[in-house]
Amino acid sequence: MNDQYVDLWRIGLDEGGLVIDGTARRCYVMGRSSLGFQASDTVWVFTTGGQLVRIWKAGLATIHHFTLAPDGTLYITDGDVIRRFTGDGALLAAWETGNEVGGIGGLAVDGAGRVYVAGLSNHAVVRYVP
Amino acid sequence: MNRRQTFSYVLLLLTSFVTAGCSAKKPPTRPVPTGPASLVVVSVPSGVPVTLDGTATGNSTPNTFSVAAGSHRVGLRLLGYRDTTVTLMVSAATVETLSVALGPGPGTPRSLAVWQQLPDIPSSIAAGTSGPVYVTVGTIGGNPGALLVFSLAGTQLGQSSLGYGVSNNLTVTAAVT
Repeated sequence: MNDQYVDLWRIGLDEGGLVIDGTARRCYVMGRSSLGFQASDTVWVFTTGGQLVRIWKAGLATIHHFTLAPDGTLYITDGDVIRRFTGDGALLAAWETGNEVGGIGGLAVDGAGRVYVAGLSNHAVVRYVP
Repeated sequence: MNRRQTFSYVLLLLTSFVTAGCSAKKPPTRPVPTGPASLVVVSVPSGVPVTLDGTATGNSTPNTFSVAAGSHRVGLRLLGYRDTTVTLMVSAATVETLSVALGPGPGTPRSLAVWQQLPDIPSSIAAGTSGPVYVTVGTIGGNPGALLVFSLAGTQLGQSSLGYGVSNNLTVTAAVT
């Protein structure tokens, strides 16, 4: 990321984060805004060299939690909704967690594609199998 | 009044009587409803794109559509849920409500319910490619935080105190075996 940068505040992003896919040589910058900025569900895709290659939307009010699966797909949450995307933004799956989770506190994916969701109000980890 | 005139008079009376009797027996006529009907489509979850008779409406649930009387096919399709099509008859100048609860689609991951019960509010979670699974708890609830480590089989491998004010971001930087 030496020769390009994104001014997160200028594009309307007061929170967010990034995740790096070393295998695909991609860096994903995730938009998250508690201020309702339009960029709040935007994903910027860079090469690991810093070249901006794509911008896509997750179709959610905001990106709350996100994680990169070992197969290179991205899991993004907002509220009780989990969406799975390819790195280019194609939607692969979507589902809503139920009372067994009680609010998503984080999520992770193991090498077998199993999704672990931390439940806020239930103080529990719920596992989903593909 | 001659005989011929008398006959005509009686015939006229009889005709009037029969006509009056017939009209009294006619059932009351009601106006036949005409015009378009309103079709209200609601679903759980909401926000599902609606097709009407195979054509995309460009609108999502909940929504009200103006339709002609007759049979209509309502389609609801949302990724992660089962495609649902309902055919229903709609009468003219009425309001029909269609409520649909979409079932999970074939590609939706299956929940195994609670995999681990935690001692406090989880704040972050991360997993190695082949395990283990790391969970931080307590760091957003005002309690001292802790890092819990589980194998993919669900066995707790360890627990470490994190104290107060630790970050709620957790990252596994390499596969752990």
